[in-house]
Amino acid sequence: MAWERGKLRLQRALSGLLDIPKDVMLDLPKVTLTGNVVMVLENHHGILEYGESRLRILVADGQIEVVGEQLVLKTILPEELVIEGRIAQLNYVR
Amino acid sequence: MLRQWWLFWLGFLRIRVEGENLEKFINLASSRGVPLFDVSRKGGDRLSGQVRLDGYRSLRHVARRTNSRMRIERRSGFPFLLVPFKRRRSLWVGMLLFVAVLYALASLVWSVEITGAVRLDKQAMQEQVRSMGLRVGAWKPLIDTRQAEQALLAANPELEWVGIKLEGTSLIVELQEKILPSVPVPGATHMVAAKDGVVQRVLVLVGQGVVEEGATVVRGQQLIAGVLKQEAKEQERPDPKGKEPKEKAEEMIFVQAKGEVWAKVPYQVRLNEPVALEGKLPTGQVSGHWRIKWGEREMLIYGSGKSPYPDFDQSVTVMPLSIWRNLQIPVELVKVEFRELRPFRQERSREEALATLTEQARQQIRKSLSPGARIVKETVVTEPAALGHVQVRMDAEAYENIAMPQPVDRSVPPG
Repeated sequence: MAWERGKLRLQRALSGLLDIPKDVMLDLPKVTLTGNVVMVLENHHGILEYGESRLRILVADGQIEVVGEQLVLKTILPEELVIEGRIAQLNYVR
Repeated sequence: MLRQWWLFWLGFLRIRVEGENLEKFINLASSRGVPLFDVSRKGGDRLSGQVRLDGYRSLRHVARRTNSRMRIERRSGFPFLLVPFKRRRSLWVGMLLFVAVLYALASLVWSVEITGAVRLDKQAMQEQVRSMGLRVGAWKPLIDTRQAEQALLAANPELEWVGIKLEGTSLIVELQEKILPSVPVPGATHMVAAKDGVVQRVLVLVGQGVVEEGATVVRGQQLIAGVLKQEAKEQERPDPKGKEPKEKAEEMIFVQAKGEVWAKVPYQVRLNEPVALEGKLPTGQVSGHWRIKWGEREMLIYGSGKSPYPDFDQSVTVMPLSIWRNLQIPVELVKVEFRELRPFRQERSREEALATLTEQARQQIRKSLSPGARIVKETVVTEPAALGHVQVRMDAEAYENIAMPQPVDRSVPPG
């Protein structure tokens, strides 16, 4: 019994020690919102739909839908997207 | 901010894309490493964005593959600013010419300055320097300063050192003259007394001694005559009134009298000073102002016009402004400095005052002695003085050489 408990404790300590961010491990998107004005999206896989009021972006495990007004793609880099405008909604579509 | 700056220098285009698959266009562009900026949708099949100038070429490829048309709306950035300049060939020629002319003119000597000519004639030195090729308008690479220095030194034995250096377009010739031994008075000379005194010892090297030991002489009196008379022995004692100079002229030999006449010379110094010293000392506080002077008009440009101290000492420095080398404008910069003074009073005892006064008197006497002299007797007398003052009289007797050369005036009969 004492042996089992010790093992569990060691596992926890190790996972804490080797704490690798999920977006790097699993290629998940990382969204940073500054108010409703700027949105930075890392790890995107391409744009599916682009309109002034609706944006759909392909990510690793689904799509991210941005709804708003006057949406402008400020920068498009292979890994990063910057969207400016008045963002109203952020939907995660599987 | 930094990226904006970079973009400006690289140049960027605003493009308009029309087509069915605009999303694909964006994806392809970004996957090819062509970043698009400020992309915004203009209606259903239209899109407007900005792209870097170097990415435009590969973007055309993308447009062909996605069946979209691309048009350039606006060009901006430094490469496009340059375009009109590229066409104006005369502008380029002018710029190059300007640099070339500037370089050519900078490699000429534009001014020659000679410093350090004190005894030497400056005009002659300028002439000499010019004849060596160091003139205004000379080509700098042709000037061998080392060689010119050597040549100048060789040509002028009065010079100890010559330094020639080029500072920009000005050539600076620095001269250092030799310190020559004092030039002896040419022609025949007598030795006369430089000071009053009682002759102690006469040492005649050249000439005819006319004073004896023990004689009292006054300043200017002849001690050793530079005129020798070969004839009669009675002429040894000079007595000009009894002689006819015409008769004797033939027998006279003119020489440069040499010798030493040591005499006891009395000195007296009387000094008076208050017991307590009073005076003014600078406190170290300094303030001042700058003025611009134009003809008669003056204008304050910095600081206050009046001294902030009740008691002060002021110094005025006038700096003429020069535009370039010798070109002057009639404007002067005047700097006035006020130094604050503070009165001080040093209390001394009577004895202290007397001691310092005696020392002062001694120093004063020493200063007027000729080299090699020594004080043989010294008496200090304290004299009555006004209240709060001390007075000292120092009598000293120095043993010194009083002989001094003086040219013989041949028009006057010897005596």
